[in-house]
Amino acid sequence: MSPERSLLEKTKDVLSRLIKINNASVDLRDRLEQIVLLIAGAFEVTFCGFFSLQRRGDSFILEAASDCSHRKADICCLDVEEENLRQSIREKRLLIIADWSNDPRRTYWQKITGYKPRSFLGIPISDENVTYGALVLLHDRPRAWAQEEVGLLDIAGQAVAGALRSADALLSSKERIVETLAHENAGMVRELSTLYKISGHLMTTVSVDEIGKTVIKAITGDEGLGFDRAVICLMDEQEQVLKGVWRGEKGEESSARDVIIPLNKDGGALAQAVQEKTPITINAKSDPVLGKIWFGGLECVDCALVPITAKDKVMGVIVVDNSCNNRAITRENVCVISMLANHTGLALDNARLYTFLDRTNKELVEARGLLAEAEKLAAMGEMASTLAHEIRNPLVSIGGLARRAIKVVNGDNGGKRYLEVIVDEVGRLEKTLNELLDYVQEPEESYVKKDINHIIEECLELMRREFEEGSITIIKDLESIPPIWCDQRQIKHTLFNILLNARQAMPGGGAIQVSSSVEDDEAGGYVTCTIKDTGGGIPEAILHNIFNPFFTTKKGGSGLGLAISYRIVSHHGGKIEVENEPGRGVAFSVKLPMNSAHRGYRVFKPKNRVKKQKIE
Amino acid sequence: MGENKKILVVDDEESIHLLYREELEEDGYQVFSAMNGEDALEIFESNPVDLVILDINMPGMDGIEVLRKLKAKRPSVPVILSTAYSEYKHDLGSWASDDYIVKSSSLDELKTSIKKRLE
Repeated sequence: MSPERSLLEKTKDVLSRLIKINNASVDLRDRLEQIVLLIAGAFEVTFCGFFSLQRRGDSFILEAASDCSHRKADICCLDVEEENLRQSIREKRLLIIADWSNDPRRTYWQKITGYKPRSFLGIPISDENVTYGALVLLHDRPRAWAQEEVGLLDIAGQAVAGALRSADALLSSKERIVETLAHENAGMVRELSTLYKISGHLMTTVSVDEIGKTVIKAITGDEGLGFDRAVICLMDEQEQVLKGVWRGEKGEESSARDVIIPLNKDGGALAQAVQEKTPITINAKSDPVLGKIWFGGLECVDCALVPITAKDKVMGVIVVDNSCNNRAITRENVCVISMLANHTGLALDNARLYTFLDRTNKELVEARGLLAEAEKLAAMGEMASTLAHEIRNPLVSIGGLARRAIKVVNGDNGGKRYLEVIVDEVGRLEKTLNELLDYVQEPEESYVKKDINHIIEECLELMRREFEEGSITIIKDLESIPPIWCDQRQIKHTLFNILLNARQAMPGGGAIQVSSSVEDDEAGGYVTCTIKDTGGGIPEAILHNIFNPFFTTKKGGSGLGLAISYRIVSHHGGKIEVENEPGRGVAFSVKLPMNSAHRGYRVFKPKNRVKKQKIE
Repeated sequence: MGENKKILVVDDEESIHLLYREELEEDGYQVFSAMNGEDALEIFESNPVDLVILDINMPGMDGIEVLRKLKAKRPSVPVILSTAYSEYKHDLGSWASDDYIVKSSSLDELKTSIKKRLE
């Protein structure tokens, strides 16, 4: 092969490989190394390396070398004072020293390469306005460079410049992307950290109001997500409407109770967001309903409507807009509000759960109290029943036989009077015993629909003679009232008790006003029977005791009358109210619910000590 | 007054027997006394008793058991439960006695009931 022919082949070979290298790899260092290796091999030199000129222009760094020992050195600096190279670069021309044996400058290269090069070739690598560095070829023997070789090296230099340029372009575009990403990230990080802070706060509160206020602040506050306005509506499942609760502008929250949006087609986009459970971005102009929720009426800005959900149930809707700066609502905005809405939903659900637990707990405590009372009564009943049998039998004998003795005692030696006292006292004991048993025993309830006025009339009739003898005037004021479900016997017992107390409070006579009326309330209404006397009232100091069992002011009273009455009325789901005017009189009002569903339940049922048996 | 009607009193208390016997005999009834259920059934078998006054709590056979057996023998004879317990009064229907009277030192209520049953 002729030298010309071989040079041509070599050129072709080098060029095709240079193109391949430039196309194949994107890693700059990889490319440079492949290029310097190619050159060192093609031109048969002992060293080929690329030195990059540092930005400050005072030093070179060896970026790639054909010699493996140099590749490992991360940075190999070449003092910029290396005149040859500087000159070549400055002048953007090749520097060729064919025989360098007597030049002291080559000592620089000895430091780098480990030997004294005899031949030097430097190719500046530059673009029109950027100087990247230089490609340096060294040979340990003097070497001449053919014109074709120099031309080929020039092309190789351009290939290196091309690689550097494309890498540079890539680098800068990468930087741009990273910068953009970093910028976007900063926004996202800020939003995420806001969300994080909010969710932390939301999860620690169980007050619905505080949750709402926090969210409003988070959406519209300076430190928050930066929207201009927000409204939070919550679902009213019973009425099937969205009710506005909180409204916010620039972190200031206010009430939005004036907003009520029906959940049908009249509810517009808000109702749609609830039904579809997805966020909606819409211009307020195109939905007349949206205009209602802001202060300023109809607006022409974009709104985002984001449903608040928890456990796949819609609990409400967050509405945001940018009414002041008219910024568009982006997809990212909606995403962030959705995340916030999720947290809000969870927090609201938490709060609801807490309220539920709190109420249940209170009910439990109440029920436990009732149970304790029931147990106490049961124990009392047990004891009273046992005592009753033990006491009643001897009482029957004592009293009964004393009555007989009265009949057979002759003469007036005082014995008859003693026996009469015994009979009276036994009678009193028996009465107390009966009342005690009445109190501790759950009476069999038998509810019928009854006009309370009839019961009142029956009681008054029963006591007519008693009232007449005591000079007591009865003033009746009975309204026509509908019949209610009640235990006739028990209610009669109650009214009788109160009438008897009134009678006893007026030993010198007086007046009893008996009235009945109907009152409406949410639970279906009450029938009220009021018994008012002129007996001077109850001293304030003992007023709170009057319903306590065994509390009495009457000589010979058992103290159970009002206690039993109170329990009877409670069982009917009603209440007894006392209006006391010390010095004048007292009015007892028995209020019984018209709706039988409010009837109370049985607290206590004594155990039957005798087995029930059917008689065939 | 009692037209010689025969009344069986079943009670485990001596003093109750003393009282009831005197009061009822005074009203002209013929009174049989039984201190327990077994004696009561025996007397009931061998005498044409017109009415029974029956205590509930007694040692041995209790009043309910006695009531069941009395009614099984002669259902037409009225039985008045007379007891110191008031709380069983409401179960009267299922026990199928003719009346339920809580014992009292005054025998008025009991006597009214007897009179009503024997009319």
